[in-house]
Amino acid sequence: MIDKRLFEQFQYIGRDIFDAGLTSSHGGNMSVRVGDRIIIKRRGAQFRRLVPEDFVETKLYSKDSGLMRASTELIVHREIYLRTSALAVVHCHPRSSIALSLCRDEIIPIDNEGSYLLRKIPVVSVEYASGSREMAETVAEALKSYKIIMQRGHGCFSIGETLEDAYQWVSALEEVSDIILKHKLLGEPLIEYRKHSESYEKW
Amino acid sequence: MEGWTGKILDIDLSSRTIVEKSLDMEMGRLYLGGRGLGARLLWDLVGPQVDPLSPENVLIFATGPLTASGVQTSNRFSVSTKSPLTGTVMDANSGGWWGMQFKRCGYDALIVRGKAEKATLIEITPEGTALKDAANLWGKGVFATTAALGQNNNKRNVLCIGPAGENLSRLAAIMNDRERALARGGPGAVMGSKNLKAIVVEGSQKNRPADRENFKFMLYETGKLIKASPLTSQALPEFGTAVVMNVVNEIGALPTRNFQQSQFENADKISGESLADSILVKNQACWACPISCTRISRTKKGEGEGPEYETAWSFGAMCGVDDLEAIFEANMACNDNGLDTISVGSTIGCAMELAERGLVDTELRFGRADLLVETVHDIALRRGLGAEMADGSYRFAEKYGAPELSMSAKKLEMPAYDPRAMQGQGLLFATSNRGGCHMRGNMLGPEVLALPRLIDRFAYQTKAGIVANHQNTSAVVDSLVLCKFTNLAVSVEFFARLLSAVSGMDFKSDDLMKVGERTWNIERLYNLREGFSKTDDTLPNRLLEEPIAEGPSQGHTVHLAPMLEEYYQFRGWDENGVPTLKKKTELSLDFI
Amino acid sequence: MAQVKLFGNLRNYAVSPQVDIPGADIAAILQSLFESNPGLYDALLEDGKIRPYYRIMINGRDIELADGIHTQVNEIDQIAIFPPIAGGQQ
Repeated sequence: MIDKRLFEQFQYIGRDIFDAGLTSSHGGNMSVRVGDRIIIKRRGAQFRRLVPEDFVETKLYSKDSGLMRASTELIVHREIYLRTSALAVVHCHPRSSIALSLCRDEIIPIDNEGSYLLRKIPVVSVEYASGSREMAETVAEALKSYKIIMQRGHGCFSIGETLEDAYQWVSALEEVSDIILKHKLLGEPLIEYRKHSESYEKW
Repeated sequence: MEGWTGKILDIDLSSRTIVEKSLDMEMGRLYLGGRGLGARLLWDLVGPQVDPLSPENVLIFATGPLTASGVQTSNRFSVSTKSPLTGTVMDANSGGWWGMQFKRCGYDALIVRGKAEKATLIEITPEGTALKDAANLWGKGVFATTAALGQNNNKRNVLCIGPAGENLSRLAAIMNDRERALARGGPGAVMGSKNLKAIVVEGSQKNRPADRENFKFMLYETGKLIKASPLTSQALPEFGTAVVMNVVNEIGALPTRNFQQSQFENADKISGESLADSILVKNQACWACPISCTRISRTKKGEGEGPEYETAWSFGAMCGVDDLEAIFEANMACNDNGLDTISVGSTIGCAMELAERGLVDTELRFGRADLLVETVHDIALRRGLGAEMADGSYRFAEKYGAPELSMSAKKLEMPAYDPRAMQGQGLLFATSNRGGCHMRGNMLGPEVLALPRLIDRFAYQTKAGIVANHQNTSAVVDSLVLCKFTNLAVSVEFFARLLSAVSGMDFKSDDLMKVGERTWNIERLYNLREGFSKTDDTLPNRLLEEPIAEGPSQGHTVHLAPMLEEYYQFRGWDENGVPTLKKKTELSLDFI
Repeated sequence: MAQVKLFGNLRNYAVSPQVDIPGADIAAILQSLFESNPGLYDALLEDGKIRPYYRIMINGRDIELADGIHTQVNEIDQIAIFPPIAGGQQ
């Protein structure tokens, strides 16, 4: 049975993610690492209506029966925990960010908060984009250098020391993407106000 | 020079030979410098059969690839050795200017072996390295020695021991730039056992970055972050580290009178606020540091650096003393004698409790501010009861039949946080490789200050991962070598990009976290080889069995066993806390 | 009457570092505090919310772990307000 305090964190973050429009009813997943185990949302559970039974505990270093009920993307979460020092992983489908990921290899913030927090969000491309070995390796490798990355056409993966950290990066990313889109709608030239901004591409 | 000079200076004091060796760049890439490199070299050089105070022990002074590069706080360095206090691998870390200057001499590290026949000093200048007679300095205090050898902050820097190191006190520190300290674990005694009084450096080389453009950008970004954080731009410069005294007291985590209570009724009198209102003259910065947290204080007895939070606590609440002037003067006495203020204050507090229980015959009692300075001198000179206190609280309390009253872990005196009020801190103290230490991943941030986020300090499940990550991060900072206060504003992903810009090599954030984890594991393996085991990952009985009696943390003890189990699992160690072959292979430690 | 203690540079904005204030919850207490020490309002709040890194504790427990500014306050409770401080590492 999942620890009460931990469940509360999952519940609040899940609700906030759905309410912010960052995922559809049953989409996305999130997990934390405790000792040598992963606690992850089960396949088919709804972010907005999580109950303690919606969480599955499974081993980090080996496979066990937990993977029958765990999210389809458990393999990606596991690879992330094995390759980075993440203690929490959030994956969802932020719409503006997905739209941008379809036409560029990296998302570079033009707003102040986004530049400050994220600097650059790389976009990785994977052919078989749902729970494959290739996806796990590509995503985990990219997260060795960045806190949040986009998978082209699919969604974002973010890491943190707590669920709240990982969630903050998602929320910040979608704000970045919304601002980029709105600027495109305006169709007016950008007035650069940040020093050294050309270096963000090299981040 | 792009990060590394590629050269290590190796001096054997017995044979009086001075050799330049190459740094194995693979080792450089895996351990960086500072603490990591020191631990790796120590593994090869000092085995279990070596007595820490014998000529076979070594001192490894190490800088890192960022030292002297101009990155904020890139002045720090460390010394690694086998500790005469704990018997573990040990590194002590210091700021000021010496580390920067040593790097400018063109070396990444200095290894000192053997034992000189007579009092000696090492002098490194652009003309070369020389061993000189130091007979006229032996017996002199740190202040006099530093002045006599021509200390000039930016040009010529003195590192030396005082009487405490000469008298082989296991609490002896190595001092640099007059009042900076490589303090914990007794490195001063190792230096004294080699008859080495001082190391003077004058350098001329520069640590220039490989990618100048990117380096300028990164420097600008980290500077912005440090300025933006109210901690590094306001709190620390204005109040110094002692600003923490009141908040730790407020939550009932301030160890008082040898950890008998967890709140000190006069905490405010020894806080950063009171310091600013009374004896503070100004603040001061180390080389290339915008934070400027050092206090310069003055009383009738003189002017000098300090007191820091830990010192204000160790001579303050720990001893039941609320007199800031007395604390400052005890601090000055420690600096001039070359002693670790945390261990000395804690040992005095221990003696005070033993005295009140009638176990030892001394005038020392809680609240006796008037006896502090004299006791410090007694310890440095091994005079009277000081001779017995000079080897730390554990050996002292054990001699008088009450080792459980030494508030230490692995015989290193614990610092100013009661772990019963901060569970994560308890796990940290119990598992730190050099003994009871907070500088290996201080949980003050997450458990009290909401840095980066607040976690419940009484919770003990799910703490292990955060503690381990913090330990790894602090090991990285200790290997780059930078000041941990930059880490309050700047995260590891910036350090990785800074290192890439300076060295011209590609380092990712995760590469750095692996360096931290590798360093932690090799230190662990070193201790295991020395005979330490799971049973040593523990805390004094008082913290495990006696609940705090009063205050906001009343009723709590440290729930170490479940935290330890989760911790071993998280680190990929077996149930006895031994790194598995799989983990060693992952970290390129399978040669062990 | 709860006892409110101010630390760090917050003391510069108040008449006294320690004062007794009545109130049923933290929000009410802060309101009273600002009335008698108007300088504290800007020091502590930004856009109506408590500034980041400022901590408020009730009897040594951070209010973030209770009900935030709606945390109930009883007679003889001790409230402590800290500006951003540091002394360890992240």
